[in-house]
Amino acid sequence: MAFFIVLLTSCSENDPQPTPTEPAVSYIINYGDYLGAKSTITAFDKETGTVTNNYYENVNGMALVSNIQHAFSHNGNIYMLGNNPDELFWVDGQTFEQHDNGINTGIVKPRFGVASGNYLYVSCWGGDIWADESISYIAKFNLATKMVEEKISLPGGPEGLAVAHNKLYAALNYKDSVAVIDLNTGEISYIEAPAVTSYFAKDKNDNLYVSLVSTYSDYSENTGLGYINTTIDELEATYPLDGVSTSYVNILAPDLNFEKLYVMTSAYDANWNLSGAIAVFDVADKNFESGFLVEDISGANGIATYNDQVFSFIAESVTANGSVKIYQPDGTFVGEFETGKAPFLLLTVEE
Amino acid sequence: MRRFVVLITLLVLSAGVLGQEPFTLLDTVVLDEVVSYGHLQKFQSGAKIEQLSAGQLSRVQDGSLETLLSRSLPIAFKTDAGGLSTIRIRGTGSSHTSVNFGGIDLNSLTLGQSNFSNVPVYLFDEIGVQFGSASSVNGSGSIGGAIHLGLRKHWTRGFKAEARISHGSFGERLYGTKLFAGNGRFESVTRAFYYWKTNDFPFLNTTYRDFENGVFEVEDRQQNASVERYGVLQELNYRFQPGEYLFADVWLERDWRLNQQNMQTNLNTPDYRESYEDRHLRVWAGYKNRRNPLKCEINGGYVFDDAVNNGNSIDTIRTKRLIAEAFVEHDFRSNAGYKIGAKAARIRPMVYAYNNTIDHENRVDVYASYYQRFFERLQLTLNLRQGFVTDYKVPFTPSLGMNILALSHEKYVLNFLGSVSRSYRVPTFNDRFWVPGGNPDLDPEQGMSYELGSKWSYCTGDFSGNIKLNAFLMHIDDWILWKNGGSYWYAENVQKVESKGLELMTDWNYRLFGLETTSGLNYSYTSTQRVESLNQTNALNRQLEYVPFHSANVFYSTTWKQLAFTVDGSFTGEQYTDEEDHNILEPYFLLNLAVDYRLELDAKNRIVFSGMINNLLNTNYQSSWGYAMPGISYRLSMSYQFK
Repeated sequence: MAFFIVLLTSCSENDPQPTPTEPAVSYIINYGDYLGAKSTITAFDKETGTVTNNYYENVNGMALVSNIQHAFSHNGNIYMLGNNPDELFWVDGQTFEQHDNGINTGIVKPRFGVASGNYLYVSCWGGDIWADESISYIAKFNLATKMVEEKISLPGGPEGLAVAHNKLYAALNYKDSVAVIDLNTGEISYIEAPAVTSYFAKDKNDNLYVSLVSTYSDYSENTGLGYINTTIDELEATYPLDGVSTSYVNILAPDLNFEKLYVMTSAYDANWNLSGAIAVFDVADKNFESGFLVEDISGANGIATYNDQVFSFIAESVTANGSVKIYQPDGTFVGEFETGKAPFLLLTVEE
Repeated sequence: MRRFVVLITLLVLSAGVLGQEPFTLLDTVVLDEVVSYGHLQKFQSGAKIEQLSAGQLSRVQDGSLETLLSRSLPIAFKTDAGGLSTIRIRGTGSSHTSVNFGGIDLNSLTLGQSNFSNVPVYLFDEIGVQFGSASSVNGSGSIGGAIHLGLRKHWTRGFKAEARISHGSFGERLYGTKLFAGNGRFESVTRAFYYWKTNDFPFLNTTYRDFENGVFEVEDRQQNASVERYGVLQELNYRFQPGEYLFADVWLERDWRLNQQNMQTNLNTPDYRESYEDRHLRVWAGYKNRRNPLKCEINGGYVFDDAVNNGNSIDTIRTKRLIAEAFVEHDFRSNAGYKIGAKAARIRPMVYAYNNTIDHENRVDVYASYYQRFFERLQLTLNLRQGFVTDYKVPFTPSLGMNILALSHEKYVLNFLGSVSRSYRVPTFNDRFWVPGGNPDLDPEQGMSYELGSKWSYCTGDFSGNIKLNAFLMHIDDWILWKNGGSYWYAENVQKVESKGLELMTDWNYRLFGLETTSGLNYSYTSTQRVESLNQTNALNRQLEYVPFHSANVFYSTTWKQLAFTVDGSFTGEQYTDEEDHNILEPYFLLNLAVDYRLELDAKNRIVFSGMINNLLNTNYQSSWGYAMPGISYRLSMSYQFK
């Protein structure tokens, strides 16, 4: 009895939570040029500051053959979704070596991927979504058989995905809502939103922040962030922010403790030139800070957080190498380094 | 006097050499009325204008303007395997060369460029290429050069006709006909063609990835890259008297293609299809009077361009243009003359992605030209042009040219040429009005061009030829690119480019073992560098993308009785494809062989049989990074000619 009392009292709610850690090495995905040069990978070691461009090619002896639309890590592998050609392939998370062939059957215009259990779920536009919004779907990829086991029809152009409470949430880029797919039953329901949605950031309670954006095909003045309670599947709140980026890059980035959520946006400078900016959402206060973390970013192409810093990806064109500009959380510029063409995403391998 | 006679003889012979058809080196030259490049040269003394010979045109009757120019002149193209090609004269961009059919610039008003694979050689009698700035004569767009597509006035008496059939590798076929009818005063000429190419050529695909078996290349076949083109060009001409006539040209054309996919997509998604279709109606008509010292022309035209992307006819991409032009030309002395004129256009773009601020745009150009010859040795020309565009400011574009007859000898003539000219390009409608990202406040792209050249013509007995050497320097400012704004891309005046180089062109006619022979060599060295840029780039002061330092052509043609044999080769040097030093196109050499046989059935009927092998060495090369190109291929054609 005493043993159990000691055991119970040794694990009280007041004990400090373990500090999240991140690996020393991160990988920046450079999209490349859709019609020309394909994606490359930049490896960045935060401890030594070493930057290695063309990392995939250095390791595997040959270049990538597609434009990476999204990448994520799961069970020690890094999974990458490619466009033109459309494919899903993976590399070893530690060595970055590719040993297996990827797949393209069942993967048509892939956009985003998440893992849950023995499956990967991939949002696919299925073709020219702007001409026919009914053709999009979610590909359910079996990690054991390495095949797309099922295509779950989901009209409306699913983009970003997240899994919470055994449900798959899909941000719909051609419909003002978020789709919710029960992974047990396959039932699909919708959470209405004031604008089309694009990406999620999951907080410590497994609830979701979702970006609300105004697009060419679906204009809206209600851009900003939405907050979804995933227990009851309701949009509990919206937080307005003008000009949330409509780019298909990483536009939401929480810090390591999910105290701040950085949002890529755009604004006109004094000369009416369009440029990028990074807005800061205070999670505790539930509002955007009054000023931008950074503004007047020429060629803003995505954001990330790493090493307690904010990374801004820069791509002024798709014919020249891009770069990463690094800022402290107070906006102080730390430094920059060159990447491949059109960097847009940073990922680390789960430990 | 003797030198003057020799000079005229040499000029006639050199023109004759350039304009020779196979088997006709010794034939009588009939002086048909032509779209005269001499007329263009009259007010542009220092300009380098090359007219492609009839022989060069006849060898590429089944091909496109890109095929003709890339094999005949040291001009760089960025091309895929037959569906899309864009030009880069002297390192300038694809929207910096105008393509002129009468007073119509074929360049798309939305994209600013022409697809040179879509211009059929079969429809035209003459093609001329002007290297260097020509905005003072052609208006907006001719920063790097100008192409002129010409129709010869035959003033047919009676009826004559041609029918052509051609068949080649990878499902290529062409059917064409030309019908001439007239009474010497009135003439109707109908030209029509149909072209198809399946384009399913084999190639080695190096994007294959089989990690499990360690295999990284595979024999592949290009899928879904077919091309279909057809068109008709109808001329109606009425001659009051020599030098005075009415004309009307109507050109209808449809160009359809499946966009060639890159090697990766071809391998992994072979069923993927994406089509693009262009439909054009071009009408150009007018009255020309070149009889008197006071000459005049009044012309007008209508152009309808319609593009359909992947079968989507709901999202319109159309423009309509009404054009009118009039000028007066007066040779008020035997050694001096002027020309003054005006050109107006009303343009209506109908593009789904434009904002509502643009319904139509008016453009007016007023221009004046002057030439003066001194002592029969020096000719100076001056061109002045000012354009006006609705809600847009266009720069004043003058040009000055000179041509000096330095040496005139019984056997040779030496000329020196030079010019200075200013040029510009009004940004396209897409650059200014596309939503999002179009910027109506863009500055025009502007250029300054300087050129010096020499031409040495030699003629003695059975041997004649020309050697031309030109050096040029161009500055192009406010070059427009689309920049990443975070939420969307937008058009901006981004960079300044400097281009300089040397061009050598030679052609020779002689007898070799008793056979009439023509040969030549062309070479160009082009150094084009981005000298300033608003973008961060590692490529400042480095060669621009898709501009080779070195390019060259060589050709050899000989005739024996009814047979003609031609070998031609072209070399394209190494090219960067982006602003890094990573993806570089290797240099390549292409060799082609052609044999023609003319069978005279009787005085009125003739059949010409032609056989051609392209890329004889089966060179594996790319012209656009990541896109396969065909290896060795053949083409057989037969042309029946009545009168």
